[in-house]
Amino acid sequence: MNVLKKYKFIIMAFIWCLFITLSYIINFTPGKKIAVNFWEYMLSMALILPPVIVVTKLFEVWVKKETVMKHLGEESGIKGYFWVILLSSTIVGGLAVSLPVAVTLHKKGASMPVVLTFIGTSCVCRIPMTIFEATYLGIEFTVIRWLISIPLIILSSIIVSKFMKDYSLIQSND
Amino acid sequence: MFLFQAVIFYTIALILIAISFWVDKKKTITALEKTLNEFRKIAGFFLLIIILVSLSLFFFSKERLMEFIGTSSDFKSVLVSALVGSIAAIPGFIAFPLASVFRKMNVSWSVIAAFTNSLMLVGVLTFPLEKKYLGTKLALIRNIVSFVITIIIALIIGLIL
Repeated sequence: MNVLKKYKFIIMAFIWCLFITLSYIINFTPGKKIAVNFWEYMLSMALILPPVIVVTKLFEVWVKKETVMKHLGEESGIKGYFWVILLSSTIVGGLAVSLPVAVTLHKKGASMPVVLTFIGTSCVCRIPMTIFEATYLGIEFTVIRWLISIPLIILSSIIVSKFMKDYSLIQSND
Repeated sequence: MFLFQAVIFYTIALILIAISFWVDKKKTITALEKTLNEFRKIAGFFLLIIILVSLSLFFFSKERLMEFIGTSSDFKSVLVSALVGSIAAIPGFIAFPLASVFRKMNVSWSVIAAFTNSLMLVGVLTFPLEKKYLGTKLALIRNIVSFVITIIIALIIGLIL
């Protein structure tokens, strides 16, 4: 059982390769479509993720904890939310990118509600995505959505943090 | 567009590594080692997510989404489209054009908002990865809260537009 657990991802990768190869051999159309989706998504992640992770790690070794704490920590007040929303609007690629950034910020002393706000707004306020949304659904829809989501996300982040006082992201991450 | 972004990202990252290396070799090597460790830690989870997303894109095809989302605008269809949006993992460049097609089919704004917002905020398929970063408890709470927020946003948008 332990061996199975240890190698679960390798087993998964093997089964997946087998599935894709077989789909091409027996000309199984759904399998081939899924394979195309797989490569496209894989490529888009491979294009975005490595530089993002490197930059978060450089941030970890270079930026002092005090600096992040001052601007995004418990004492930062409303300014902390402002900075973090601004930062989140520049994120591309969704949760895969915003989660490592969020954990890095938290390690450096950003407060829990600020970090949760960052994760939330990085989902809904990303500038590139928003522009795309506005062109398809109209600027009115986008503006209203922003105006309702941001306060709700901040509010819920504060409430969740109150309930999760003793919970440490760093502990669960290392 | 995507390639363009990637080129910018890689250029910025390489410039930062170069500057960092020039100022402090040791620190830079530490950062690069940490990067490698991070990749080792998340690689399996990432593969799992990519597999799940590629399956979801197939099973939640445009036709099937149209069936699910339908044209009514009562609370039930807001709930259904929020659920579909939570489970499906569809990137924005597919989801928004699709949403505008829905709009032309007279799907209400609240249903569209429920669908697009839950796609963005709630991630059932990405949960294994989120769990790895935030821990099970926080990841679970974040997703549940996000779902509630999605419903509230959808209902308010329905009232305004």
